[in-house]
Amino acid sequence: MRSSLKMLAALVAAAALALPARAQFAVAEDAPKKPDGSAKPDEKKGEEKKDDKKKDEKKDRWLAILNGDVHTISDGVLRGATLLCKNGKIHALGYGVEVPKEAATIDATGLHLYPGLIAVNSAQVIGAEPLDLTTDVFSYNVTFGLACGWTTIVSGNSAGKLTYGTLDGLLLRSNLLMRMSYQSGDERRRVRDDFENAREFLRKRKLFEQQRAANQPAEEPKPDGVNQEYLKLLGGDAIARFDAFTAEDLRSIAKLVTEYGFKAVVFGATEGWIVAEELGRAGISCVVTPMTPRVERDPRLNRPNGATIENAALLWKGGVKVAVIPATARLGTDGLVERDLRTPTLEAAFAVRGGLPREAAEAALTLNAARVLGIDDRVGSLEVGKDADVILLDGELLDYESFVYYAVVNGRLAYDKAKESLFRDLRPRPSTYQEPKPPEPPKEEAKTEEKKDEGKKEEKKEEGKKEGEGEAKKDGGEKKPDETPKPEEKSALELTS
Amino acid sequence: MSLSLGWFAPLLVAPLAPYSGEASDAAVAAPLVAPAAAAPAASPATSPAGIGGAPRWGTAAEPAPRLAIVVSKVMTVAENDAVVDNAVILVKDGRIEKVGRQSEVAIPEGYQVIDGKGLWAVPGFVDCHDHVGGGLSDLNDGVYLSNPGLDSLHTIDPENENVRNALAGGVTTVLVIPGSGNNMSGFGTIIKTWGRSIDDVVVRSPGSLKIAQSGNPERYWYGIGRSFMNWNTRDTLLRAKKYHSAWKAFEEGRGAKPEYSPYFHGFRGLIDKKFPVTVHTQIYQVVAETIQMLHDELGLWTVLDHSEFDACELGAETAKRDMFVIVGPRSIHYDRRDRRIAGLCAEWLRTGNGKQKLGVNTDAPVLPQENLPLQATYAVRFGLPRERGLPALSRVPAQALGIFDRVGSLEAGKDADIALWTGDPVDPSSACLFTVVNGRIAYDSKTMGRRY
Amino acid sequence: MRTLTRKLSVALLLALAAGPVPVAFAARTTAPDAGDRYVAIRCGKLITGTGEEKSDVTLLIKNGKVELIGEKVELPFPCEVIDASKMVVMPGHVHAHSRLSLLDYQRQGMRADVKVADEFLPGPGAFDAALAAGFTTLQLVAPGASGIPGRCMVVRTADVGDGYVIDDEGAIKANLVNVAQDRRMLSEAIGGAKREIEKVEKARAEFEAKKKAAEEQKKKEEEAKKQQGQAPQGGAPGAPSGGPPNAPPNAPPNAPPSGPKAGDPPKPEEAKPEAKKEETFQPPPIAPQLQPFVDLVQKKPGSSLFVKLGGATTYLHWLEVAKEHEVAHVLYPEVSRAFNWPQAFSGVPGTDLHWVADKVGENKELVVLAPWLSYIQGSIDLVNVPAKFTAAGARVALTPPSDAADVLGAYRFQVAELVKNGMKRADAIAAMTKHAAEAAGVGAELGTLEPGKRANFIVLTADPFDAQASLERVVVEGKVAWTRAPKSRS
Repeated sequence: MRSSLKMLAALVAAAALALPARAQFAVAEDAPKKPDGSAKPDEKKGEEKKDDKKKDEKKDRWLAILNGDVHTISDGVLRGATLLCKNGKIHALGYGVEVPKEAATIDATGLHLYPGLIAVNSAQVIGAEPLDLTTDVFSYNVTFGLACGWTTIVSGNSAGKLTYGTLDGLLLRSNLLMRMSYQSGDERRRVRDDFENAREFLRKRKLFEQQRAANQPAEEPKPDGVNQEYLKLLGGDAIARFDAFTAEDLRSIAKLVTEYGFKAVVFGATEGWIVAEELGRAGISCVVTPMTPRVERDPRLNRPNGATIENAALLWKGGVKVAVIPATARLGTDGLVERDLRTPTLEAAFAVRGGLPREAAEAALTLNAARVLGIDDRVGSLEVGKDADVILLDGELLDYESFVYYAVVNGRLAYDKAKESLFRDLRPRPSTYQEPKPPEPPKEEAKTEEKKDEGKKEEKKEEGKKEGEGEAKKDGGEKKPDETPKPEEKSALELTS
Repeated sequence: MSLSLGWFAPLLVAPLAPYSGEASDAAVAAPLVAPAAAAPAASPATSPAGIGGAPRWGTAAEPAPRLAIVVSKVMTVAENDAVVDNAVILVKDGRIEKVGRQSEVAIPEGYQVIDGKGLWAVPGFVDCHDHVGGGLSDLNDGVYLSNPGLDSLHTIDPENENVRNALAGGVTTVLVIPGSGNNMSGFGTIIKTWGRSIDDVVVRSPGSLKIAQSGNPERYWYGIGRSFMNWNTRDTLLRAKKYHSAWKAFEEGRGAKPEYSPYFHGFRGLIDKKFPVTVHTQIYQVVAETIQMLHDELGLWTVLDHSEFDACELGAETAKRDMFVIVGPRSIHYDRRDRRIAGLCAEWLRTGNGKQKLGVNTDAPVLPQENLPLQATYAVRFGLPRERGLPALSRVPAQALGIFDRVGSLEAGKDADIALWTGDPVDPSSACLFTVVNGRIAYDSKTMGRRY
Repeated sequence: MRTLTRKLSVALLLALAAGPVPVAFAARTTAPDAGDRYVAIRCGKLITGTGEEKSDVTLLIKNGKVELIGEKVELPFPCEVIDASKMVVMPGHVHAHSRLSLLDYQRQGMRADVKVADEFLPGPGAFDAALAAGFTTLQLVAPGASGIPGRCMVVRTADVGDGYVIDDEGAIKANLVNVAQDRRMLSEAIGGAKREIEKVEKARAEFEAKKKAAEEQKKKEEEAKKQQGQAPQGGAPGAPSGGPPNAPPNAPPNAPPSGPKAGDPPKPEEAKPEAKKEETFQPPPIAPQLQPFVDLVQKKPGSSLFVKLGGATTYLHWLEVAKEHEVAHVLYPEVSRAFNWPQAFSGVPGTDLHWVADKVGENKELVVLAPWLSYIQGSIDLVNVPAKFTAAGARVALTPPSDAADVLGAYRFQVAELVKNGMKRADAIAAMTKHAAEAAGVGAELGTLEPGKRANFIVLTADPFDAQASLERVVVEGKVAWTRAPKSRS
C-alpha cells in the first residue's frame, strides 16, 4: 500500500515537472509550433517514421553541447555558448538557449567547438561510388577519420559523412565537381569550342525569349551538339575542377575562367603564388598542400618558379579562396611520412607558418573546403540550419597538441575519445556525454504502461510494426510514379533474365 | 635509409665538391641584418657583394663577424633549461660570447645588431641520423656484408641541397652516416650545415661508427637473417678489438708493431670511446641485441637510432644503462594489443620510468632534413612532455654524440649556432627565419627568400 | 561388426528377460501394429535439444519417429534395442549451409526459379564425410556469391529407404554481400513480387467487375423478359433471381472454380456453357523467377529467404530492405577464418557483426554462424559473436564453415571452444540442434528429440563438448546409418 502511494506521489511530481518543462520548450522553439510537436509539418513526420520502425525514434532527436567556445568560422567565436542540435541540424546557437529535457548533452566546458573538417579528396578511407552502398560504417577508418577531425570526406566525386554505425545521412551529395583538363593544345581547343557552342546557344535562346516576349515570330534554338555540362557551368550550376601545378597552366586557366565566367577550383596550384592575383581576380578557388614536397627552384628558368611554403598565404593575399588537404589522401598507421589525412590541423598550421592568418587556415579546412565543393549550404560552419557536424577539441584547432574529444555527425555523437581506445590515453578527459533521457510520458499513459505486463507490450510492438508497414506501403505507393519513368534505370531482373 | 646499389657503388673516394658560385637571386628585401651604427669599416660582415648586389654568404677565409642578436626570448636549452626574455646574444669569433637580458648586457661597439624583436632564439638543432652528405649514390658501398674502414667523410658536399634546406629548418649540425644496406657501412661524420669547404664543416671525423643490425641488410644476399648478422657484427668487432689491443700493447712498449690494417684502424677510436657507435636498430629483439651485444658485452659507447616499432618496450633497459635513444623517422606506433596509436617517444619514456634520454631524427632524405622540428612536434603531440620537445632536437642528440661542449645549447663559449624562430619551434605554425652557423649568417629568409 | 551383433543380441535377450516392466507408457496411444518398426535406445545421457538433459532414459522410436522418452519404458515386440547406457545421445547435427554433392559453379543474377533439387544427383558416398562427423541433415544451398542464385533444399545424409530428399523447395538463397549490386536486386525481386500480386489482384478486380456487370446485364435482360412475356407460370422452378454468384468474392487465386454443385437444381436453359467458362477467374501468369518471391511476400508457410550477409554494415542495409518489405528470413553472415592478427585497416578476420549485436537481438533474428571467434578490427582482442548474439536475444544456429571433412569433424570441438569462451552451454546446444534445424527450415520436423519428430541422433562416448568424446553411431530416422569401424589391430 505504502509503495503504491509513493508511486502515486512520484507520478504527480513527474507531471508537475513535465508541465513547466514543456512550457520552456515552447519558448525555445523559434518557429510557431505547438509544444507537443503535433503541428509539425506532416512530411517531416513521415520521414522520421520511415527512418525507423520503433516508436521511440519518431520523437525528435536532440543533442545539446553546453558551455563550449563555439568557433563558427562564418561569424566569429562565441565563448561559453550552447549549441543545440535537432534531428541532425543545428537548431539554436548562442547564450541562454533553452535545452529540452529529453536532449542528450555534452558538457563542453573548456572545449572548443569547430565545424567538422572536410576532406576534399580521399583514397580508401570510405567506400567508392556509390558511397552510401559501399561505405563500411563500422570500419576503423571511420573512427580514425573522426578522431582526426574529419566529418565529411570526398571519395570519387561524391561527398560522404563519417556516420559511424548508421547509414542515415551518409551520402551528402554526388556529382560535386566537373573534371576538366586544360593542358595540351588539343584539350584547350576542345574546351574553348565547347564553351563557345554553349555560349552561342545561350545567346540564341535569350534572343528567342526576348522575341517571344515581344510576340515576334521566332524559332526556338535547339541544343544540338551543345555539351550540357558546359551549359551548367555557364549557368553557374556546376563547378569545374582543374588539376594544375605550374604558373603557366594556372594563368591560362585564369584566362579561360575570366573569359567565360564560371565557377572553378584548382587542385594542386603549386606555383599558384606566382599568379595569385590573376587567380583571385578570376574568382578561382585553390586546394593546396602547404607541407608540399620540396620542388626546388629551377635556376635555368629565368622567372619565379618552384614550390614555397608561402603559397597558401600568397594565394590568400591575392584574393583566392584556399582550401587545404594533406599530401596523401590515405589514412594510415605506418607512421613514416606523416603527411596523410591523419594530420589535417598540422597541415593547416603549416600554411600559418607560411604566413596565412589563423582564421583563414581554419576556414581552409572547413568553410572554404565546403565552398570549393559547393556544399557550403549544408556544412562548413556552425550556423543555425546547417548540418550538425561538430568537433570538440581541448584547444584551438591549429594547436598541434589539440585532440578531438567528440565528433558529432548529423547531430549524433559519432566519436567519443574517452570511450574509444585509439587516443584514449593521450591527454585523457572523462566523457561528459549523457544519453538522451527517456521522454516523460503524459500522466495517463505512464500509469497504463506500468500496469502492462510483457505480453501486452509485445502486442503493442506488433501494432507499431503494423502501423509502420502501412505507412511504408503508402510511401512506396506515392513514390512509384516518380521512380518508374526514369529511362536509365533498368531493372536488375530484366538484365539477368 | 638504404639504397642497395650493390656492385655498382663506386669504391673510389668521392672528389670534394668545388665551391659553386651560384648567385642568390632572391628578392632584395630589407635585410634583417642592420650594419652596426659605429665603425662600418670595421664590420667584417660586409662580405663581397654578389652578382645582384645582395649580401652574399661569408667565406671561411674571412674572420667571422661580431653579432649582437636581439630577440624577445632565448631558449638556452642548457642543462637548467634556462629561458631569457628580452635577451641579447653576443657572438664573437664564431662563438657565443654572452647571453643575457637586454637590460643587463650592453652591446659593445663594432657589433652588427640583428633585430630579432618578437622572435625566439634557439640553439641550432642536431640530427643524429641522416644521409645528406652528398648524393644518394654514396649511400651504400655494399661490397661486403660488413665494410669496415669506409668513411662517409669523402662523400660530403657541404653545399648540397639537403644541407642548404636544413638551415631553413634551424638544423645546424648533422651526423652524416652511410646507409643501412649492410651491417657495417663505414664511419659517420659530424658536420655543420654551412661552410665553404670540407674543413669548414667537419665537427668530428669519425663522428661515429654506423652499424645496421637488421631491417635492411637482409637484402644484401639470399639467406641472411638476424642471427647471422649478429654473428657477423660481433665477429668484426671482436677482430677490431684484438687489433686495437695489439696496437695498444705496441704503443705501451709491450709488443712488436702490428701490421697496419685499413679495415680495422678506424675502430681504435671507437674502442677508446672517442666516438660512439650509432646503431640503426629497431624492433624489440634487435634492440635487445644491441643493448646486450654492443653495450654490455663489447662495452662500446652505444647510441640507438631509429628505435622504432615495438622497441619502445625496452625503455627500462636503456634507462638503466643511461643510454641515449634517438627516435625516427617513424614517430608513432600502432599498438594492436590496445587498439591505439602510441607516440614512440612517449612510450620509451613510459617504459623508461620517465628517465629515458630521448632525441629525434629524420633519416633525411627519408624525411626532408628541414623537417627535424616536425619530429618533435609529433613526439609532443603523441605524449612526450612539452618541455622535452626542444631538448630532443638539440641538447639530447648533442650529448648523445659527445659534442655538447660545442653545440646543442646557447651558452657562452659554445659554437654560435643560433636559429631565430617566430615562436616555439615545436609548433608547426612557427617558422625559422634566420640561422647563424659558426657565428656566420647562414640563412636569412628576407634576403635569401623563404626556403621552408 | 560381429561383436556388435553379438552385443545387440545380448541386449535383446536381456530386454526380453526383463519381462514386463511397470508401465510408464502413458503417452503411448496406439497399440503396436504388426508392420510397425520399433527401436529403443537406452541412453546414459540424453540431450534432447529442447533444453533438457536426462540421465538413464530410454528413447523409443516408432517407424523412424520419436515415440516417447521415459525412464522406464515397456518395450513392444519386436523391438531393436541399442544399448547406449554408458554413452551420450544427442540430436544429429544439422548443417545449415552445405554444398555437398552440388556442382561447384557460380550462378549469377536473379535465378529464384532454379532449384538446387533439380541439380541434385548425389554420387555414391556423397555424404559420407558429413555422416562420419555426425551430421544427419544438410541444407544444400544454391551456389553463387552474388545475386539470387536459386532455392535451397534439405536432405538427409543417409538413404534410409526413402531417398535423400526431405524438402526440395527450400528457402530462397539471396546474397547481400556486394551491396551496390545485391541490395537493388533483392529489393527489386521483392518489389517485383509485390507488383505481380497487385497485377493478379487488379485482374481479379477487373474480372469481378466484369462479371458483376454481366450479371446485372443478365438481370436486366431477365427483367426485360419478365416484363415482355409476363410470366405465365407462377414461378420459375428454383431459379433465384438475385442468387449468390458462383465464386465467392474473396477466393484465393488458385482456388478451384466453384462450379455448380451436385445438389443444385438444374439451371435454366438460357445459361450457355460458354458463359459458364467465362465465370472462372484465370489469374495472369506470374514470372517463374518471381513465383518464389510471391510466395514469400504472401507469407506462405515454409517460404523463407536465406540471406548471406557481408558484415555489420551489410546488416544495416538488410534492415533497410526489410523495412521496405517484411519477409521471413534467416541470416548467414560471412565469417572468415581468423588466422592472423589483423592490421589496423585491413579486413576483419572473423566477422564484425558484434557491432550490431543489440540490433540483431532486438529484431530476434535467426543467424547462422560459423563456430569461430572473431577479431575486433585493428586489435588482437577476440570477440565471441555467437555468444554476444544469444545474450542479446537473437537465435543462433552454429554451422560448419565449409564441407571439408576435417572442418566437419572439428565442428563439436569448435562449438566447445565457443562455450569455453563464454557462450552458455544451453545456448550452444540449442544452436547445434533446434536453431540449426530452424535455420534449415525443418525445425518442425527434426533437430530435437521430441515425440513426433524424426529420430535423427548420434551416440557419443562422452559429452559433446568433451575433447575426448568420440562418435560411435549415427542414426537417421531410426536406422543406424554409420557405426564406428572397429579399431584395427595394431
